[in-house]
Amino acid sequence: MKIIYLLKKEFLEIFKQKELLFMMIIAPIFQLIILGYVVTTDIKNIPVGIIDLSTGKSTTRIINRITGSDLFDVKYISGVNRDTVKELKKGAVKSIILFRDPVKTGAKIKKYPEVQILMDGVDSNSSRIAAGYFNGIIKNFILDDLEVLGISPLVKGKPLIRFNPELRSINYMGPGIVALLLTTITLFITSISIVREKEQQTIDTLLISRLRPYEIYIGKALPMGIVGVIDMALGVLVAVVWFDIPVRGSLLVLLISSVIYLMAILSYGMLISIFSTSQQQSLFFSWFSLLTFILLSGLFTPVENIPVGLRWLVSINPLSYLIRIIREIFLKGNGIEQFYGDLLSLIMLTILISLISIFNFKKFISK
Amino acid sequence: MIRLDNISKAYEAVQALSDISISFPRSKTTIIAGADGAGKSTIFRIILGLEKADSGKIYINEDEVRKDFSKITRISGFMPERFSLYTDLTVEENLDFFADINNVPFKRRESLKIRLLENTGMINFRNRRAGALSGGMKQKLSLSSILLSSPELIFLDEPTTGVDPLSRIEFFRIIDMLKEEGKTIVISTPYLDEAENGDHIIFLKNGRIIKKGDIAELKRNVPFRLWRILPKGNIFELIKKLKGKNSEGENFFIKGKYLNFIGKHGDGALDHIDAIEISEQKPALEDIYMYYESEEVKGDAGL
Repeated sequence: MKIIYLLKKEFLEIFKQKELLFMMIIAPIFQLIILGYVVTTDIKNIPVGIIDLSTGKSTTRIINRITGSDLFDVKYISGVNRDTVKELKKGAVKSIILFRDPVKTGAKIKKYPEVQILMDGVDSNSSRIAAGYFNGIIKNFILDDLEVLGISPLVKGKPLIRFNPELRSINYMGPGIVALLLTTITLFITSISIVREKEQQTIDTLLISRLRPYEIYIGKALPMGIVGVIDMALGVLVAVVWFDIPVRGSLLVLLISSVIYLMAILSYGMLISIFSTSQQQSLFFSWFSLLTFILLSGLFTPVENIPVGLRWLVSINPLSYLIRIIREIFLKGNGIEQFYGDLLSLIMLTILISLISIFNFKKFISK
Repeated sequence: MIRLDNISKAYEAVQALSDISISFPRSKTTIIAGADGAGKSTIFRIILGLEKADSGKIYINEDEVRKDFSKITRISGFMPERFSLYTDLTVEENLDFFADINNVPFKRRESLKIRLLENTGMINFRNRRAGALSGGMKQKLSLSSILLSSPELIFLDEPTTGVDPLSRIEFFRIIDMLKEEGKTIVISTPYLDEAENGDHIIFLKNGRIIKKGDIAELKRNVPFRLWRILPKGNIFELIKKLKGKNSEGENFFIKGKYLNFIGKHGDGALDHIDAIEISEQKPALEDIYMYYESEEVKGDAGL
């Protein structure tokens, strides 16, 4: 097995290029830590302006609830009216809460002010969530008041949250980011592996050596597979130790699933490398592919949001399966019996991509 | 040993090789000479199975090679035109890698490596990064890497292009040593002065063989005479005037400060040239190439 010699050479080259080594091992850890904090669906510290034109006392209690919450960063509380559109245009606040005395005068209603919530809808998602938070605060305020008066609501839903009771978005995003980093590093480096040899003309030297074509193929892909497994292990370690994300499922199943996924990505990277004529071209293809993989993976937005007609794209995206599997293992502690469908699809996809890649490699060497 | 029969190859609209039939005599040095784009590298690539010929056959020891080119590559060493070793690895690491992938036995590897490094004058550079070597040293390292597997056949594609003159001399000293060891060597080159180092020559132009044969034989039976002219006036104005004058004008070539004239029938064409000196010379390979090339041009033009 002369693959070992090619492996030795590949690792020698990696260790000689300190920058590359940094990019492959250290940079992903930094990235995971940074992304872990940045990529979150939690909405916090929303800049808010409050205009209180009401004469009742209840507004003070509502305002206290808003200022006491870490969801909002109250920029001002004004007793006089302001041009709200101008305020939102300036961008200093993302929402304005306007309290007025109610127009209707009834014994019970008079107690509560009229509330208007004005939102900056440019970031529609954040605005929707923030509006929900405001409504929640106001609703809870009224419910508390009713309870004091001895009036209980007829129906009251009490949520019981499993698997991520604190609703930490990092618990949901973290494992996905580990999968993303695994993809980024292995895809980019593998995609330049063959094309680099083509540019250096060393590919001819390899092809006329005693190495067999399959030894060249495996010898070029395997080192990146090993780097991928190391990155994956480090990523899981950071997720668990740094971000305190629980791993409730089997690490062995996680490793097996990741290795199957890695085979798909390495084959795809090799395919890019075979077709590319320069490293620049292969990096462009990788970047384009990565972007498509991410957008169609369910990492940032739920797959259900994708129009039905385009969902088949998700089913041919290996990253979507890994993200689902990795989340199942991390948070739900699920095993193969729960996600065998996804695992089976991933295996089929891996076989298909590998066959296409090997077929094209054979075509490339026998031209 | 290796024989090519009627090999043709085209890259889209470009005909790289047309009906090439050649063989490389055992233990001799064959030179494939021609300008850039003549098809020299394509010949090597087809022999080694790196490219497929559109038509024609390749034989090794009279056995036709169809798919399994390992019959050739197992006994060959190929040095591509461009430096094609790993620039981030040291000289020694590169040699070790080539020894590994070419099954060089561990027992004799170390002694062979030392001998090659000593013979090429690179022993003191064994720990230097290959990318940091000079052009000449890079070529010597490339040659050493292919010699590690002790190939019977050595293909060198423009080994001295871009190499300084001293390194070129040094390089051919090593080639001479290999010749003495009985290796069959095939060198492609655009430099005809280098071709003098060979035993056989193949002149290639636009993918076609314009002449081939034993170098000593070709030199003995030159079908033309060569005159060297040192003109009185501007050499460029003179050649412009001569080329426009008659059909023999095409037989004048500038060589440094001299004008060379290649003619079959004596020196009639030289009668009216205002020259400081005109003397007959013994043709070198370069002149022989120029002659056959001009004959080819005339043939193409139907002259």
